[in-house]
Amino acid sequence: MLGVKRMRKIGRITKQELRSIIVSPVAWVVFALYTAYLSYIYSAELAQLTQRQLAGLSWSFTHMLFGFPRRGVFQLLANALLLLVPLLTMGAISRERQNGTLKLLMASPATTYQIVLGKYFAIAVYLVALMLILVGFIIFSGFIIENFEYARVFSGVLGLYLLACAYAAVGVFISSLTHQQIVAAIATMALLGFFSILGEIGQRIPVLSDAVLWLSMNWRFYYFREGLIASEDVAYYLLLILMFLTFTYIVLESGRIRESGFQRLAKFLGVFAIVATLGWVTSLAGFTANADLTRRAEMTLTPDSREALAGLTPGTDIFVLINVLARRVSEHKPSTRMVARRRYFEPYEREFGAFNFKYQYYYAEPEDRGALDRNPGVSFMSLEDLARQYAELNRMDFSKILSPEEADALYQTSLEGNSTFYLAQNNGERAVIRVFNDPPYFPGESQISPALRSLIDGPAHLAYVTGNDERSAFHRGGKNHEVAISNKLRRRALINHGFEIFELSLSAPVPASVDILVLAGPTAELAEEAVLNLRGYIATGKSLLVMGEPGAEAVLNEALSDVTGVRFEGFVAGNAGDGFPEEMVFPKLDEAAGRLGYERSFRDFHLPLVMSGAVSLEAVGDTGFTVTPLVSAVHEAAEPASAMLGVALERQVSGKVQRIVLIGDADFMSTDVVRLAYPRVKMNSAFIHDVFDFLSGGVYPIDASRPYPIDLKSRLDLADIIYLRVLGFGVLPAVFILLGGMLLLSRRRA
Amino acid sequence: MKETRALESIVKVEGLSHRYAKHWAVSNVNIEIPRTGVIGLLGANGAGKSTIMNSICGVIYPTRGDIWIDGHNIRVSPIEAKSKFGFLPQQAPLYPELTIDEYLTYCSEIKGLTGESDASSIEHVKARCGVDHLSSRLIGALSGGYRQRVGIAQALLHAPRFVVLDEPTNGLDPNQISAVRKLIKEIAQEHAVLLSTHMLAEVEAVCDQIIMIDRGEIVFDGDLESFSNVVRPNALVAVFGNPPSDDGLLSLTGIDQVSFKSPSKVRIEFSPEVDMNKTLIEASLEKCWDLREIYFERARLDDVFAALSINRS
Repeated sequence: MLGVKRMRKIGRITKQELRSIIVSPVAWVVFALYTAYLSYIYSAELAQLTQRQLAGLSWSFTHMLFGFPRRGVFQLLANALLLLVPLLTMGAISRERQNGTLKLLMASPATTYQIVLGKYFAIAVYLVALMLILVGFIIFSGFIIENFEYARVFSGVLGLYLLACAYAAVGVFISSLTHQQIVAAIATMALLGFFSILGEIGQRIPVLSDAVLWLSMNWRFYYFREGLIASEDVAYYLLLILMFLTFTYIVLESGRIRESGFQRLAKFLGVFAIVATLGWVTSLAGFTANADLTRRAEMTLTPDSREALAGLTPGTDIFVLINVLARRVSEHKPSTRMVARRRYFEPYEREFGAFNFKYQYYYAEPEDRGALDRNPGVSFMSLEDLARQYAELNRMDFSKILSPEEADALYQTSLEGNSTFYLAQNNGERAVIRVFNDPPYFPGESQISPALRSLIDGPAHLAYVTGNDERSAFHRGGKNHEVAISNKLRRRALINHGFEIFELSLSAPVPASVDILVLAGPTAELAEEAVLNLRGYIATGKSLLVMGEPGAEAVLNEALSDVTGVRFEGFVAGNAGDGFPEEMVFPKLDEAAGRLGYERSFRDFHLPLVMSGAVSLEAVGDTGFTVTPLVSAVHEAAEPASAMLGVALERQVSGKVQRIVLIGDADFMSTDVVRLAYPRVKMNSAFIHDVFDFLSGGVYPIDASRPYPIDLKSRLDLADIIYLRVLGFGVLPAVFILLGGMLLLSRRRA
Repeated sequence: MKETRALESIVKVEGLSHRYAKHWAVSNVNIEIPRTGVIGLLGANGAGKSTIMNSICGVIYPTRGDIWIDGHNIRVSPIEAKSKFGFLPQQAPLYPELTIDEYLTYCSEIKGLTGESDASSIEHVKARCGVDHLSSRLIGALSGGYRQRVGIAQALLHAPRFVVLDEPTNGLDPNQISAVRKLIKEIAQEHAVLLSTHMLAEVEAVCDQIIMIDRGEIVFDGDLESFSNVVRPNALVAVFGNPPSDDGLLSLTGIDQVSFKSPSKVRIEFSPEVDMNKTLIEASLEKCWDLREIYFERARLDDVFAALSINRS
């Protein structure tokens, strides 16, 4: 399409434009300002992170320094370029109009598109120079930061460059509309500023929300900044550039031909329609590709998630039920709710096609009153009035907010304690995805993936046996398993990992729907009927978890030992050491457990597994099960030196593997131990997840964890950062100003 | 639409009409420009001169009509057509931040079909326009006259066969004006020059052919001589050996006014209907006035200009 000759003409215009840029003071001032600002934010953030490192609070240096949303170099530079690029583009066409040279160009054997492209490329080349300064800082970072993530920042640089180029295209277009540079600069800044907040304010108008988001350049910058290059994002910027350059072309040509304002408008709209269509096409599932350049593959689903959800059909609905009186409602208000969708759900949507998000606001008295109780208004305002105030505060339309009764009738919100939650729906199946009472608040991949999987495969039915003084799955308080199993607000509770929890009595046969039966430390003898039903269940080949209790070994041995071939033996003395309760045991994970998975536990190998008041296990006879030891307590002084505290049993039952886990302690899952303050950080949750992973045959929970970052150290001393600041904030900008000044002066003297 | 045509003239404009928004700026203009000489495009401000020039130079696309430059239709093959001429718009198209050399190099590159800037061509036009001693000066630091010269130099790059100058002496002082006019005359030795102006003095000083535009239409196309004769003269000067009295002259039919410039030289204004030559000769023979000399006063260009404009209103 483009002949060599034509390309060369574009090249010549580019060269001239570059020369004009270089001999103009503004280029040098922008260079100096940019360098000074970059040095300032870089060294300030580096100092902050170095201080954190000294305090032992390191997290990925690369991400914190460059990719961090508000303070990272990339985002701050993107903000700065919004002001700097218009200074570069303000003269692009307006100066030609002012000088009268536009006529020269139009009368010259160069076509309008050559003129537009030639000028645009010159600015694009200048922007490369700005990026090279940034690359200098990145290379420096590579020297001072251990295991620096180059690939990740490459994505950021590319995104920043595309963003700057898109800014420039807007700037060139605005410049073509006026012959006053300063007007062009201010109008470009205003328009870019408008574009960058458009993404937020436009969300309040439901009809426009998607279109408006599409126009928001800053919104698209997110993935680049975080280390993911998505083809649709690259295409988006290129299309935007193309659109504004075509607009420029239309403006320049409109000076040459007779056309009505209506015709011109039609042209603009036509170009916009074509670009929007192309933008839409390039975002269709079949046309996209992406490269996750983060070392830990943070921006894409883990292989486990992907595999688990392979059968997910398109058309998943996500109802977001938002109680305006619940915690952190401001993260769900119309102007900001897209942020959470992008962060937590878009990785799925990229993989499996867009979800249909429907946001429904309601009010009702939440069980988790955290937000409410802090509000003194609660005492003198009705719930409805309070909800109205909250709705207005967050700019929601109160008339569309459901009353407690309506919400419950439609979405059974009371079952979720009137909290804010997501309801995923596909193929007639529904699954709840919850928010949590921890700082991240939003559900992560580990919670979303199992919920989505349950739409395909159904949840795992986990039944706790009652009636024999067992630990309860639902009752709150010390010895029960509520926090580990059924606490909806706790991220790691199994109820948030694909398990449906219920209780049953062994007075009747165990229903066929039960996948995993839990016998959590019964202390009362099991009735004959109960033993029969329990054995009947085992005979079906389903999974079983049995936990022992000191003093009640006989209860389990009578019911099970001849079936399992494992006996619960005597009390195991504590080995936690001085200062811990006597009965506290820190067993060690057996290497043999590795054969059965238990990856989470091995990852936390350095942490203690906490048990309290445990009984040891002993294999007493072969009953057809393969016995694998899971955990053992080691006593340096006592005899025997080692006591087995957990075993996994496997056998084949009608072509399927039956899995049984026996643990000599029912406390390792208890609220008291899970919430224990000392040791606060422990292996228990990982071990619990591994046990149920094993019992569910690897279906739930889904392990979406990622390796720990390794770029945790900077070699630069805090004191040395001052040199960096002097060099970057003072010397380099001064050199640029000096160079530019000398160049300009020498030309003036000639 | 034919792409090329006979090359007896360098530029041919046929049926050019152009309309901005609603009104026709130019309608049905036909122009032919010979290969050398200066053609003056004359007209009041807003008459349509710039529209015609911009159309010829491809800055605007005319609503109707065809323009051939050296045989190339500017609509069909704009690149070829545009490489055949040099253009100096009303406002000299200069980049103040560049030096003269940089500027001319750039213009040469943009214009040149070959792409190589032609150093000798640049030296040539600089010398010709008298700016060669200022080569590395910033254009922004030049005086108005020199800027205009640089603008003209730009138009002469690559020795185009045809040069379009839109009001080239606008805003210059009298010395600069005469220098620029001299330059234009020199250029016209080898090139065809189309020059627009609203100043009659300029037309008189440099033009070989005049095309006058008024309200978008050509009202006159011819040489300077016939331009000044458009308005029929109605005054003559007669020299008598034996001058008659006022009353003697006024008694003749057709004479409206008489004024003596000297005792023997008299200026006579007459009504256009009569053949004043004949009347005077006959009267002189009859009354022995000894008529020695008789010449008609040429019409003043301003009058022609005004007349051509008024005729149409």
